[in-house]
Amino acid sequence: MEYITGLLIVVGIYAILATSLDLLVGHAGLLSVAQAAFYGIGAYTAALLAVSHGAPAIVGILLGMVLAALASLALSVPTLRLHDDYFFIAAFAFQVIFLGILSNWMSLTQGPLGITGIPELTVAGIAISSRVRFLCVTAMFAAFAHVATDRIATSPLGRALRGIREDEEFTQALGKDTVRIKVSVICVSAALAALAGSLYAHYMSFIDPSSFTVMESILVVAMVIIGGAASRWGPLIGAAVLVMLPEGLRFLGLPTSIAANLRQIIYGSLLVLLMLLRPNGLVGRYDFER
Amino acid sequence: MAQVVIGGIVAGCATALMGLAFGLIYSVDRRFYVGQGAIFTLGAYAALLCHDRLASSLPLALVLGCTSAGVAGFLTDRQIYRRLRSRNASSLVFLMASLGLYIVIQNLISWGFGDDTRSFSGIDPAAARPLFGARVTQPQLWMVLATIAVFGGVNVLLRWSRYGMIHRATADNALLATSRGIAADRVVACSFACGSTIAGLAAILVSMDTNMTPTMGLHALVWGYVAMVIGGVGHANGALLGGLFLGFVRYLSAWHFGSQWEDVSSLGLLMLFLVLRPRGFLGDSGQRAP
Repeated sequence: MEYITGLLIVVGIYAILATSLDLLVGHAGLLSVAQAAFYGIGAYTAALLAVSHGAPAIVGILLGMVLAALASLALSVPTLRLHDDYFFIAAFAFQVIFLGILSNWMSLTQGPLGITGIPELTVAGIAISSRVRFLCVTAMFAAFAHVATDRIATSPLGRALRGIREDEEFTQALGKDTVRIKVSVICVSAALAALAGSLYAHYMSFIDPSSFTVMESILVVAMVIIGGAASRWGPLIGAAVLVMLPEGLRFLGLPTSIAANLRQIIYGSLLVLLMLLRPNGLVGRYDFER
Repeated sequence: MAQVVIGGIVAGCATALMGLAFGLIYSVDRRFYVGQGAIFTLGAYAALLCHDRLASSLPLALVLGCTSAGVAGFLTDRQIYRRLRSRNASSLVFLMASLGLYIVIQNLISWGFGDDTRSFSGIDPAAARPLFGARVTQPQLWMVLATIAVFGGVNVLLRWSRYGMIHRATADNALLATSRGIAADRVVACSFACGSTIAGLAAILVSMDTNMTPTMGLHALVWGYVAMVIGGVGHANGALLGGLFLGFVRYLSAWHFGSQWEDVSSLGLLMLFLVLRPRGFLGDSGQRAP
């Protein structure tokens, strides 16, 4: 039971990440591999505030979201004049630079040693001490993220985003300030990713840079694509599938010496097969073929 | 001082070769193939297999390693990427499929050879000869010679051969080339074969100079890509310029600040180029930003 709740909490945290990224990847058509950087900003802000200043959890969560939104400006403002493929490269560079700073700024982040002893979450005076309670809080935040992105996606802003994805110049010709729209949606996405990060920090009570690498970013992109980009439930399903899949493969009873490699090989082959057979994801409607 | 110059040149040559390997494909196809990172690793390990287990001589192992990388690159293009291309899939789908491929190949290698650092037996890294007051090892000398030979050969081929003309035509405008009867698909397959062979060569030379691990491909991929972008996309010699420049920056930053800042400095350089001169050293202003 403990195991199942733990798994569901991880699914919930990744669901927040995947829904936030879907705003960029699915709706705006901006491929970003910097989501783990914003996730990391949220996690480290919450952890540092709680550990060294004893600040209440809610302050850490909110400040993390604000900092991530501000950091996203450093990525989006200089690079959004460029073609979409260049945004991908810039996001990649942003992610790697962030990780480099995280691992080497010893006095602030303690580098690869990580931050230990992050206290448990306290919401409105109630200590979230058990896993079941934490699951409820995670589900609440995941629902909030889901409703927020859904509201954006179905609003006129969401329509403008999809316009940018299909034909940016045409959308500009209709009088939309496309750069401003993109900058603001990246801000929102980064803030939601930071929310997921602070939850992660409080849940694990220990964080280190290895959780915020490029591979983590790519995993979130894979969740969006595999679940189905620009669909209401796709990112959620993608997060559930990609968290559960390695766990499920654990029960296959593979010999331990090769289990880790074999699991990865199965995962990689499934990724290739899915892209060959069903590139719009498990429940996605929008096919990225043009 | 002379040692820094030599070290920079050697690091630059390796990066330039990888940039060329990557740029040949990117110039005709404009997509980001993560899988090429694994093809790079595959070349090094195929040569290791020939040399250490099948007891072939070093030059023969070099040839066989390059060939197997080339064949593997060609096959992945024909079996996977061509199908996606014929469906006109978006770059997102390509990224996911090639990532899956990267995971599969990397794990096959670490399954077969283990995760430990390996190196070619029979090469004495301490055997260095003096040159202008610095020390140059045998593999480093080969690296520089191979870079000169490969760039010379590619330049001659691209400029004066019939295939070179076809390649340049496709790189310039694939649609127009197709309308003149050029099978753009075959040009891409051909550049995959050539690019992967060069990647294999670079991998073998790098691993002779230092060592090899199953995850070495990802770094090589990133550095090659940075070299290509800062040199100017679509110019074979851009990769040489970009590679040498990046090699020096990397070497100097490792020397000055420590090797943990290597990634941050090279990706920071990329960011700088993206903001200030997105077309790179050699790109022309009239060209569409890639």
